[in-house]
Amino acid sequence: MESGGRLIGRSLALRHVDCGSCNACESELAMLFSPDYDAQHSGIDMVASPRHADGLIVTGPGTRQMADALARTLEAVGEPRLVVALGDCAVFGHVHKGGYAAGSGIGAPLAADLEILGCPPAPGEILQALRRLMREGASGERAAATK
Amino acid sequence: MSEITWRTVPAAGRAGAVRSLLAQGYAFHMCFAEHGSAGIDLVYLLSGPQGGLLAVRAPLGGEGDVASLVDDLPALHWDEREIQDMFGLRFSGHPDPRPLLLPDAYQGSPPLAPQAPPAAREPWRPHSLRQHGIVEVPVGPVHAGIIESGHFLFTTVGETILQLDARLSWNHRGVEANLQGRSLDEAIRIVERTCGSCSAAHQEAFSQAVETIAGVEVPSGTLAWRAAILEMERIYNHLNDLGQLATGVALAVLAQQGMRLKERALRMQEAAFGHRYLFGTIRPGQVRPPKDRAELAAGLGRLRDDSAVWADRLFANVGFRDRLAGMGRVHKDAARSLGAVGPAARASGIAADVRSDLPYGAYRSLDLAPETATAGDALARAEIRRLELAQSFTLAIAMLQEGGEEERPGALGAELSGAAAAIVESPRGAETQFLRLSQGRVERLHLRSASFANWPLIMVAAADNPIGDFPLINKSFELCYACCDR
Repeated sequence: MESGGRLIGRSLALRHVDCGSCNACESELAMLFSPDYDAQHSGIDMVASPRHADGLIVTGPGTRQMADALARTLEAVGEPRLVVALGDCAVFGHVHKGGYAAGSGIGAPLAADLEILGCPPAPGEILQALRRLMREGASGERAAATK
Repeated sequence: MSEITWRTVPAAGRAGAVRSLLAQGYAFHMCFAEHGSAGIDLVYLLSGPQGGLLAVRAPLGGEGDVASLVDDLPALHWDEREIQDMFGLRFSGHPDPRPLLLPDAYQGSPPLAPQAPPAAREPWRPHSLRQHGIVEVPVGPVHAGIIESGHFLFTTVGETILQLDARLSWNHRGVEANLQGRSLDEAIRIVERTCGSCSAAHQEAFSQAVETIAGVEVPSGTLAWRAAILEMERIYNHLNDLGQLATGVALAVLAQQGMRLKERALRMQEAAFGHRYLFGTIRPGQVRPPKDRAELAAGLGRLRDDSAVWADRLFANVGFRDRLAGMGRVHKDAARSLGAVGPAARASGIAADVRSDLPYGAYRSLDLAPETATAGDALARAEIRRLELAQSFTLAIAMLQEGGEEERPGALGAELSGAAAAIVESPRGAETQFLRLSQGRVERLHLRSASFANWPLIMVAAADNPIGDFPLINKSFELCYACCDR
């Protein structure tokens, strides 16, 4: 999304959606708001409703059971909107890829504006990637691969 | 320890056999299905009063409709629902035969019985009580915080929860089907990612099962370091779970201090073992040695002292105690009947802990006494964690000192065949795995996590409480959705 930088200005409000994560990405996302990272200092917040959000931050390989809820949550975010794929599962499905119940990530199907690799990505890496997104706007590039 | 004694009974004799074993003091661990020589076999895994695993196998010989054992053994009511989903069997007489794990849209053959025709599946319907004066509140699967996905339907009268119905399955990734045919190296990378919060326990159970099949003795130094890793997993989880309760009570400073302590634990794990969540630390016959164990032990000592100061302040807070006392009570009888495990069981007065009941690895030479409480409420579940935190620090530091680099039993797995089970005490309680290998590849792996065992307790705990208390009641169990759904 080219207008990412202007769209989000100096704050970024995201709604988290878990689509089959093992919980480690959730844990790191929560640590983003602990004293060591304090993402709110950077203007970043996880908001309770997609209606309050600039976009979604999605974890997990994209389970079949979550497909409808994910689509409806995304639709509830006003346009223009951003999608961040958080973690190896969300980016490419990782070990849970394929099969009858899980997809190959949500990065490609949702045309994610930012993909953050890692299993899980550390809070500092997540913060850095989100700050860059705010600074430079969404470029579709992947954040630095880790681990 | 994890070698299984098998006993085969006819399908019609299952209830009698299980009933008589329970009367002799056997404990139930899980029920699962696998493919036998003629059709699907049901397997009931139990352990004897003196330890030792016993599996009762009932070959169904092509029979697809079998009697439910829920009346005899309420603890297996979700096991039977899972078997219905995954193998296409029907348990007649089951009080709640709705789907448990499979996605609503799934229409193919049962995933673990792919040669069977697609089963006609009942759609999942909520347990709805639409009557005058009753208000239904559906919540999820997407929640307001950073939480895993799950759906809850609260049936309320005024503020009070009359009944809670949970629909999980949103995190179902098809882990057990995905594991079939995998090499040991591939399989453990999937198993350890079934749940990020109990990863080391998953790795340990898988490794023990492989070691039993291989018949190898793991050196005591390796076992000691593994125990240190398992206790560190408990430490960061208990810090997290207590911190989450502080968040839920809106004690902002204590909550942030709790997260700071958890972050210190995660950084220590990364420095010592290369991964914040301990992925890749325990493997069949092996353990990843700590990088600098003196530094790690010293760091754990400092974290132990600071955690104790923090926990004392949290529990001295009148608001914290008042808010949790009496909330989400689970009576001992209900906990026992539903097969509660871990801190939730111990908070309801059941002294169950795999580390002392069926000790494995380094725990065999310890004489651990489980911490218990009697109130069965949210405060008791918090108190158990606080007491265990202190115990786990002591154990982890001691085990680091006892451990050492020793000769490894060598690479395991290339041509292994056979079956074994292993039970490990994860931060949330008993984690049970059954593994069958054929020529070094996974033929069947069934994983029953502590969260799977304890989810039904939440329905009991929630009833008769104000709906506004549910988030705290839920946090007082702090169960994983991912390792329940798989």
